[in-house]
Amino acid sequence: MAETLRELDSADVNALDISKRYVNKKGIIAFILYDIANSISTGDFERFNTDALKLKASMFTLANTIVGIWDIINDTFTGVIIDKTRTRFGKFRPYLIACALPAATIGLLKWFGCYIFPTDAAANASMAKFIFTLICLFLSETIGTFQNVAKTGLLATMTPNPEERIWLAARSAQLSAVVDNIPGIIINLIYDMMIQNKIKISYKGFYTSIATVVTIVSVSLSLYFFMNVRERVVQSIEKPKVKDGFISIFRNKPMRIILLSEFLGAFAVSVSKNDYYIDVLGMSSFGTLTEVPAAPVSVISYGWINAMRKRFSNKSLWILTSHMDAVINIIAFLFGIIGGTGEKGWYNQRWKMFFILFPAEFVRKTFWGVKNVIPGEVLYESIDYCEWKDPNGIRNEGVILTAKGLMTKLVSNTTGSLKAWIKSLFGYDYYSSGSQSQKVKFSLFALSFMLPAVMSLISVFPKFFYNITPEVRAQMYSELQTRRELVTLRKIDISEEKSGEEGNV
Amino acid sequence: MNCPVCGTKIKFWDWRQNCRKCGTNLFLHDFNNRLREESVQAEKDFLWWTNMTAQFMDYGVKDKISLFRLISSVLPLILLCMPVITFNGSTMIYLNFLLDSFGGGTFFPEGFSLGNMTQYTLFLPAFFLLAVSLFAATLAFFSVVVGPAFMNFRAAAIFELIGTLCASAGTVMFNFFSVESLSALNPSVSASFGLYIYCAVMIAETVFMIRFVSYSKKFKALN
Repeated sequence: MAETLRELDSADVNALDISKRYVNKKGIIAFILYDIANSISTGDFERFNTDALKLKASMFTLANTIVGIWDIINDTFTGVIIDKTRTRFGKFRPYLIACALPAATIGLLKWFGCYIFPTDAAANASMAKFIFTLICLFLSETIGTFQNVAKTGLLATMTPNPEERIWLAARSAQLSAVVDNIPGIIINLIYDMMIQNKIKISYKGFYTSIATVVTIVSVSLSLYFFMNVRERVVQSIEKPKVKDGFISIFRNKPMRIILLSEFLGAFAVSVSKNDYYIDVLGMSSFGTLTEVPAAPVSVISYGWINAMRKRFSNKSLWILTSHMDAVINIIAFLFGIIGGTGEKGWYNQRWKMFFILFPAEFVRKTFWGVKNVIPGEVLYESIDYCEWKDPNGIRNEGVILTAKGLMTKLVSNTTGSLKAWIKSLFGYDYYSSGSQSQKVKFSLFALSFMLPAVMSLISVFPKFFYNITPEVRAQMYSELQTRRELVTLRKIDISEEKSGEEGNV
Repeated sequence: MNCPVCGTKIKFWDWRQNCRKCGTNLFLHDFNNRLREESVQAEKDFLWWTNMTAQFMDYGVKDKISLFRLISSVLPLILLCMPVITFNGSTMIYLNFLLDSFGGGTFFPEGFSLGNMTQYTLFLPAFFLLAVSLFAATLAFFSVVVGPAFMNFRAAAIFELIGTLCASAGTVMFNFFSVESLSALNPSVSASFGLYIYCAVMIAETVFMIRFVSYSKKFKALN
């Protein structure tokens, strides 16, 4: 067989044209629908516990903490398992179908728990209910991790054409942006009418109905996606070893930069802007008011991704869009402190802040499309870079994607509790909501605008060293295509040799 | 599915990459040729998508009248942020669910319940008609957005017409209902100014959309 492989020369290979498109109409529609289905949430499980399941708050927090730890642990092996998967459907597709039904069953069980266990005050510390909730959350988390990695990995391999991949990501995000808020608005409306007794639906009925509808839609679209999409990037012949994935991450500069940047970015602790809107401006919907007029711009902004890509490299757009919020926050802060940090400061005045944040939102939404598509593309091209640099052409999407998530989770799980501590540190009075002292008001303004901006800017530095320039990218994809073709021929060789040997036996 | 080389039947749950009988790699068999075949169809499909987008740009946005049509179709939905029904003389009932998402909770006033309104013969049917009208206006808006991509300009006119008829019928019924409720010494409920403005705009929109159908024949000829 070695002879056969040596004989194969890249010049003999009639490589595929990677400027062509490979995903048909059904594939495009399936991907968009699946993306939309993924963005529809079954609801807030914590709220469900308060309203319907009624498990003691401390037990519920304990269950979530255990699952949070499990979330970090399972990231260490999920990627490896996926990377070692080789089936006739590919590497990622099987997880879509294998996880769809278990995810639906566990998902429904989780919400129907309120019918299985008593929900009266006496049963709020029930150990059976706690164990049931813990198992459901545990299984949901595990299956969810497999589904998420498979979905992202599938997008990276749906087409060998990187331009088509960007186009697909942009179109699905654009169409999702139009419709994915609608279910949330309807659900909130029904919830409000229910709690105001305008319509008679029980909490249990409300949550389980939504869970059932969302689960049915989600499973159906997962299966439709599975039927209509296939993987079009060849995986290496050898299944990667466990260490291969980690070596690949640390050996390749773009991957190191992405992970380092994610890690540093996770330190961007902030106080919620909502606290500022409520406690300083006295209006919880202030953020919505400034965002809504610019909402159509965010949908349209997907239309100029190509124009921006022609003018700027992925690296420049990645840096620009990842840190645009930080720059806008700093500008808003500087305007906000006109008039001083006391009562006369602009940050205390609703109308002045509206005229500062309203145009800022327009600028932010102008780059919304690029922000939602380019960081993803930077990740995908880095995965391709690892394949390009690997002598055996091994792709480690699974390990890379889970490692990326792990970096953020390690920090955010630790810093998550810091918010409350920071607020207390600056003298926030939890019992006098809406009437904080002037000093605290200014602190809230600074903590919600300036602090996240400064912290986020730390993660910009590694990005400057990102080395996939347009020239490198062009060379990489050209060589990769020939190499993938070779891998395909080599694989067929091995299969034929195996079948020949079996025939001789 | 059968193995493309030896013809062995492969069951759906047999996910192995290689055929258990001849060892053919089922994922990679004829991989590149299949990709080339798929590419032909994908290119055609992309052309369909590009045409659709071009049609949307040419007949939905570029032309001044078309752009006006797009912007004006949002107007009825915004107008429903105004109160549509006056309840008990002062408090108002709104119909636009968008208000609710602002956290105002102003959809129905305090002490009001749809269930209690069954005592009034015409309230629920009239309210239902308004809801249908809002739904039709929403569909009309989506038709205006999507229609040009498919060269369909009629759907929006039909939805606007349905919306107008329902809103007008609802307004008339609310006025009858108002008299009935006063005579029965129940809380007064009547059509509010917002509903009249909404009806007027809906009528204007319907006339405009119907006129636009004949105007759009020019587009079809060009296309």
